[in-house]
Amino acid sequence: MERYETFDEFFGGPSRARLLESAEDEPTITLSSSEVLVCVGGINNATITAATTGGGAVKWSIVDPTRASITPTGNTATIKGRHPGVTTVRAELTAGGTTVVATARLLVTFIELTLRATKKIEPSPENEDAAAEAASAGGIDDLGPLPMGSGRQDFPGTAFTAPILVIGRVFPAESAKRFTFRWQRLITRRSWRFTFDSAAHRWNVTQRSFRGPLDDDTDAGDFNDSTPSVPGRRIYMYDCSALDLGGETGAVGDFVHEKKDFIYRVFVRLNGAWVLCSAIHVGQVITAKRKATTGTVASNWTGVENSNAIRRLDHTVNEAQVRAIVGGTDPITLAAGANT
Amino acid sequence: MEAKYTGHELRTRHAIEQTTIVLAATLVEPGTMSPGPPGEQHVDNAAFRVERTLSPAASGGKPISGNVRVSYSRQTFPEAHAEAELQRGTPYLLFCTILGPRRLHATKIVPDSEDAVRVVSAAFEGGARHGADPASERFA
Repeated sequence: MERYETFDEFFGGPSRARLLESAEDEPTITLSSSEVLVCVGGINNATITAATTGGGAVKWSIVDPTRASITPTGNTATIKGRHPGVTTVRAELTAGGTTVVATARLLVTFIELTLRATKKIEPSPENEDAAAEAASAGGIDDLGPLPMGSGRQDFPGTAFTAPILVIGRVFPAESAKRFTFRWQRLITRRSWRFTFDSAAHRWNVTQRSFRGPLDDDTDAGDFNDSTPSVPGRRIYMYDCSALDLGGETGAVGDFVHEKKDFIYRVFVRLNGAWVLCSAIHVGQVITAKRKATTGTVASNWTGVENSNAIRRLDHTVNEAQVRAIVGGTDPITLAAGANT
Repeated sequence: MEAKYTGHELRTRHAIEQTTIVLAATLVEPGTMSPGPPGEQHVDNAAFRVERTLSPAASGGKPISGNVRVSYSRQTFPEAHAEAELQRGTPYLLFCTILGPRRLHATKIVPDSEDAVRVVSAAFEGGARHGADPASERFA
C-alpha cells in the first residue's frame, strides 16, 4: 500500500489547520475612508490613514499620478490635488509573501477663476443676480470703465466706476453637482491726492484714505452667485468698485490716485468644512484729474485710468509712479504719512 | 418697519465670537464714506465717545474709554436690505475688532437700549466669548 508521510501528500494540499494558521498570518489593510475629497492647490491637502495587521510598511500610490500627489508618513498619507478629476488612492501591504491592497476613490476639485472686465454682465438665468448687479450700478450692465460720475446707485453722479465680473468654472462636473460653494472678496486699498503747489512749483503727495489690509469686502449675497450654472458649471461675483469724487476739493490740475488689491476666493464645502479652493488677486488702479471746479463730478473730472487686471498691487506710491501721472519736471514731495 | 443697522443679519452670539469687544458709544462725527461692495458704503473714521465696555473681563475684552475712530460698512441697496444711517449724538452698541490704538472696526451696530444691553448680557452669560477670526480664516 502506498504510504503518505503527510496530510498534504495524501490530499494534495495544505491541511485545514495550516490553512487557518496561514490566514491568521496574512496581512490586512483597511482605509479610513472610501472616498477622499481634495482641491487642486497647495494648502488644502487631504489625509487618509490605513489600519493594518500583519506587519510591513504600507506602500501608497495614486493610480493616475497626474491628478494628485501623495506623501506617506507611516500609515497616514497626505494627498495634494494637481488636476481635477477622479482617480484612486492605492495602499498596498506585503507580509510573509502575501500582498493585500485597499483602495479609495479620489475626487480632485478645481475652480478656474477668470476676470471679465469688458463687455456686459452675464445675463440671467446663467448669472442669477444679473438684475441686482446692474441695479447696483445705477441700471448699467456694462463692464469696464464707465463715464465719469456713473456706475453706483449709492453714489449718484459722483463715482468713477469700473465694474467687473469674476467667473469661476467648477471642474469636474461631478463637483459642481455635489458640492456647495461660497465667494469671498478681501480688499486692501490706499488712496492719495497729488496736489500742485503753484507758489513752490512742487507736487505734494498725501494719503487720502486707506482700507485693510485684507478687509472682508464680500457683499451680503445679492451680488454674487455661488450656485454653479447648468450646464456651464459657472459661478459669478460682481463688483462695481469705484472712487467717490463727490467731496473732493482739489484745484484744477490736481489728481486723485487709488490702488485696490482685491483677493477673490472660492470656498467649497467638503466633509462638513469650508475649504479654500481657488483664489486670484485682482488689482484696480484709478486715477482722476481735476479739470474744473464749478460743475458736477462728470464735468469737473477727467478719468485718466480705471483699469482692472489679474495682478497683485502693492499699497504704496513712489516718485516714479507719481511722475508717470503728473509728468513734467517739477519736484515731487511724498508726505511722511503717504504710505503708512 | 423696524430700522436695520450694520450687521443686522448677524446674530448677537456670532457677532461676539467674530469680534474682540462690545462697546456702548455715542456717535460724535459721522466719518467719511467711500464705495464698498455693490450696494454698500464703507465708512472710515467715524468718531465715537465710549460710554462703557459691555464685554466682561472674562470674555477676553479689555475696557476702552475716551474717543475712538470706527470704520464700518452700511448696506444701502437693495432697499429691502438697506441699513439705517447712524445719527450724530445717538448712542449705539458696537461689536468691534481692534485695528490699532483707538482704531476699531464694527461688524455689528445696534441702537443702545435696555433691551439690546440685556440681549448682549444674556449672550455673554450663555457662554459667548470673543474670538480672533481674521478674514483669512472666516470660512476655513
